[in-house]
Amino acid sequence: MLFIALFLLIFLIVPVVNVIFVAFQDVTTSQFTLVNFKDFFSTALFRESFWNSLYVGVMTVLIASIFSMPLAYFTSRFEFKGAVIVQSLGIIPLIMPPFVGAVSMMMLFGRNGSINLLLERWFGINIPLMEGLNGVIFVESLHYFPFILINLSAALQNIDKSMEESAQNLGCSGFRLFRRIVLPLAMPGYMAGASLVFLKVFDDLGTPLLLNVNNMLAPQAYLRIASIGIKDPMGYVISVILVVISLSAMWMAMKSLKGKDYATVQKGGGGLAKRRMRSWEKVMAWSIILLIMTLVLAPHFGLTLLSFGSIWSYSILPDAFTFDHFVAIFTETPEFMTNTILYSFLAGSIDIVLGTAIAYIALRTKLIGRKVLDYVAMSAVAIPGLVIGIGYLRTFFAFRVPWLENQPLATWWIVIVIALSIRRLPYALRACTAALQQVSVSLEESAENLGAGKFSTIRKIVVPLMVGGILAGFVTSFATAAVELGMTLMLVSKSADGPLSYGIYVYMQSAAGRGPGAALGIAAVIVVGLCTMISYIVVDRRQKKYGMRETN
Amino acid sequence: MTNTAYKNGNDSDSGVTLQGISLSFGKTHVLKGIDLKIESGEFFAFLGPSGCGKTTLIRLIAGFESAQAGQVFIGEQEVSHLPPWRRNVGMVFQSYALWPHMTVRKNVAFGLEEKHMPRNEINKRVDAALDLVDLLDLADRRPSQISGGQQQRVALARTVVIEPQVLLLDEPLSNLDAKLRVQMRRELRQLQQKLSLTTIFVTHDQEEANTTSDRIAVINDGIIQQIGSPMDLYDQPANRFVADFLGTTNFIDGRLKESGNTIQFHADNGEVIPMHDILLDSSYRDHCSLVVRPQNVTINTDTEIEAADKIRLKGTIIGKEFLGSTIRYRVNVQNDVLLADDTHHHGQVPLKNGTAVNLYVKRNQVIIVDA
Repeated sequence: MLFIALFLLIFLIVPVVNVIFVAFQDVTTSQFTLVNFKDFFSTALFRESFWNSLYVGVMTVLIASIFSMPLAYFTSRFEFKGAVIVQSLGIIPLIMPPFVGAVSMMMLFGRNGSINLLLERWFGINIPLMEGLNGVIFVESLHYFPFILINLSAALQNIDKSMEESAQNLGCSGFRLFRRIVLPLAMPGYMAGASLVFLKVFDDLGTPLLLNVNNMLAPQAYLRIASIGIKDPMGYVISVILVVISLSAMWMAMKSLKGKDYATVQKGGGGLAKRRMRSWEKVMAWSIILLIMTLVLAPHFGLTLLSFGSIWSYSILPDAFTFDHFVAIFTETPEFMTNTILYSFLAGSIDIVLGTAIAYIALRTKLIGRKVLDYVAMSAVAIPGLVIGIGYLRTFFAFRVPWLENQPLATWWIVIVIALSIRRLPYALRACTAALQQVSVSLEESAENLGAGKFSTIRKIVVPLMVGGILAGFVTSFATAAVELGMTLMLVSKSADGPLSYGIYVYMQSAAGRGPGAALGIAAVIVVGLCTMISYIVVDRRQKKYGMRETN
Repeated sequence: MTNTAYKNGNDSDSGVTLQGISLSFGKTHVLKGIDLKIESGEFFAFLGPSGCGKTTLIRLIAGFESAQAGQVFIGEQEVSHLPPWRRNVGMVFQSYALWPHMTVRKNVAFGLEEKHMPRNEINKRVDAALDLVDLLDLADRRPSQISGGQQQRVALARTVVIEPQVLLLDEPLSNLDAKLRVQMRRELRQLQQKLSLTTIFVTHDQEEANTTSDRIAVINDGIIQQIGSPMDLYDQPANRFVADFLGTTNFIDGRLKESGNTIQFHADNGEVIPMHDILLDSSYRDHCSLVVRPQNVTINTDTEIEAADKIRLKGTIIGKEFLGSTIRYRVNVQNDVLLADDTHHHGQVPLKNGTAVNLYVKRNQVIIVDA
């Protein structure tokens, strides 16, 4: 407990608090001051960035909702063969980090992209889909809409038929029924998903950076620190604003769910009443699904083209195809891949050890401060990677590591691993907590009753029963750590220490590097995709094997 | 089958003594000064409605709760401060709590492995325990692959195999269907007799408690209301709660008054009943109730008989329920409703509503309790 608390204190709380401190400090006198914030809001560029970030966040939520609602509705309301496709639509976008897809979306939908070239040739029009903020919104909403889709579908599926039937029995039907019963019951789920999307988009650094949209908050913070240095207060001010807005979004998500466990499914029941679709409804449903699917698969398609294309510029398709880019990434910069595997593996391992321990402490012991521990560990969700990166630089730059020729601690690769593990700890912790919640306390009590001490019980009963969840947590941490960009950009001090995401970013900077960059992107997609698949299989098999039931 | 491995209870004292147990969760007082002595080898039941504290009490004996005040003894040894794994008290959980990642055999072997017993000894005992509950064939299945009744027996085998001093059963039959429940409670009783194991059985079902137990403690609101054999509790309930909780009861509320040499019961409904033969406790003067079981009420439509050993009440039938072996009449007596059971015989025509009847109750079948 003490060790975990110390770990969180040093590597999460101190850096973040440090960032906040600096934001309120006068650069020269170190006195408390609000002058930095005044500077921020009196600079036109920053004001514009602030509003742009808010605008992009809100618009992304709106567009993502437009994508999700019909999909969620089809699967929960109708006997629909496309349900499997909708489910996969809920996963496919997530396995490609948005910044990876950004460049390929540019190639397809940009001003000189394939679609606009075709449109210009046939109709003489050009749709500015990828111009400026539009591009960010488009790419982000395609990537993040699954969060809303998953939450909304779950909420709808948790509404019992009897809720609807009793309303009908009392004379309510049609749209009125939907508005008065179904919608309010599904609202908490939707709000949770929506705030999560807003938070993610608001904090995202990679996508705007790769689309060359710099007049947003996260890119501004990065550019200030990267160009002026870690002494410049503006980066910290922006960090504070990012943290405050993220925390409020998370608070909203929690508030919308708190005390509103609307899961009303009764024993043997399940979900809203489903009916078959009429044929015109089927046609409509399928067209909507196909349209969304095309959009969702576009970045993957574009990335594949880009990675195999030799030259692709001002043309609908690449001129020729080649394996050169894949050869290049394996021969010239294999360190990107080996680093990624090493970092993510270590970060994932740290996460499941901490996650299991914190989950056990929070759920099974009565130690003072266990709730705080849990909250602090989870709060890393709301701290943008960029902010953690800046905080680490600020906090650990002063420490010199004696066994590394007295280099600053912040530039050591182990620090990247720790930062990754802190940032992904919430994922692992959530998986471990869920796994432990499924283990009924009486299973432990019966072991103790038969003579097993606490330690023996944990080793022989608790951990074996949690193993699926722990593994799923590891895989999630591993996969998401592999494609973390914002923080890595801040912390990688030399190219040889860079992981995949860093490599992709560096390659994508030049037109010539797009091919190898895309090839790296494909590698990242494969890593994340495989991991996601493994985690699904593991969890699924475990539940079938033990016939696990939810227990309280 | 012979199980020489199971010789318990008789050799050493394994009675359970609770002294002044009080326990509260936050501001909720769950147990309020429980004193209790359970004899070695006794089958004892904690009976009460849900939320009465009976499960907390059994968990306290197992060591999963700790009391703010009071002590728990097993035999002569105080165990209040021992952790669960040092108590040698076997508990069968309501949910059975079988470990889903282990086979039946592994589940049963667990407790012995924790005692670091030699492998061949473990195997021998596990086989004996599984044989005892007739589950040797299913030893290599996982818990999810066997039925609820079988799971119940595995849980039982897993507990008795460690030869506990005391066996605790927490509503062990509540997850079984009605038929199986009747069969399992017989088996439980037989097993307990065979092992002569001190057993505490928690239940809210009076029939379960009555059919299995030597003695019952009726618990309500964190307090033991009465302890006694099932029949004692039924025939001589100590208070209104026990009378009401066990079986169906008529209460006639009123007060006792002396008039000359006799004592009369003045019911609140206006009826005056002479009570001369009934043993009276002077504490029952002001507010009290007569307790009359429906089956002790005789219905008569014929002419009035005055008998010294019977109380007579006049009433009118206002409703009836057919229960199979009996017909339960609802009879209006001075605007009070009394239940009276009449045995049903094949072909018998029940009395019609509105029929005027005389109700007779033997004086020695009437009990007085506090109102």
